Amino acid sequence: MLVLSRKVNERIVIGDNIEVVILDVKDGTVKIGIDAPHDVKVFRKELSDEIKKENVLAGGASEEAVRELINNN
Amino acid sequence: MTIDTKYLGPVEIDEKDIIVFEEGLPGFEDFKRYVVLDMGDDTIFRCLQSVDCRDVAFVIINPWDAVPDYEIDVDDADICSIGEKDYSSLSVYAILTIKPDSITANLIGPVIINTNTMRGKQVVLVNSQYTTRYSIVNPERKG
Repeated sequence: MLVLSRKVNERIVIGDNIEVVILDVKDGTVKIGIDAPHDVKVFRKELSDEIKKENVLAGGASEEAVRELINNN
Repeated sequence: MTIDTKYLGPVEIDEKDIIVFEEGLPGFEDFKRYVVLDMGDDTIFRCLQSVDCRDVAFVIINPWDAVPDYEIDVDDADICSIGEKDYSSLSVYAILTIKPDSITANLIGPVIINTNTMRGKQVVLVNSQYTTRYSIVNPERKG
């Protein structure tokens, strides 16, 4: 992993089309601006982790609970 | 061909109904071929069943059957990754998490399927108000 130190308003360039700028640092929270092309998805890592976790839960549904649901609907 | 399914026992499927998820589903990356099966004549519930593993199966719904005002904004990049951008050939499903005492729908990570190319992908809705656990209560019967 590359580690860089940046100050507020300083930028990082990733590849040809992506720029990241540090907008603010306050109370342990960093506000980051990201300029990226539309075909590059940018989202909080927690969100993809959550979807993965939910898939595992959904895939682990008990056959009994599902049969009951289908029979009652 | 006949496949063994988690909820419906052995089911005869047509190879042309197989949907390929090139990246698999998050958490189930090794399983790439699925079919969508009806779970009954009078139910909105369907099953996204792995062709290759009986135990990999998800109960899914058309999200608008449960949440009529559901709004989604899927990135063009996601739509184009499974075929040409043609909304008429896109199906959208929400995966349900079914527990004995609750049913929730993952509305922020819907599954999109291009019925022309028979390719699918679970997408992340960036900037969406929804969550992975939208509570579904007494979903209406189909028809």
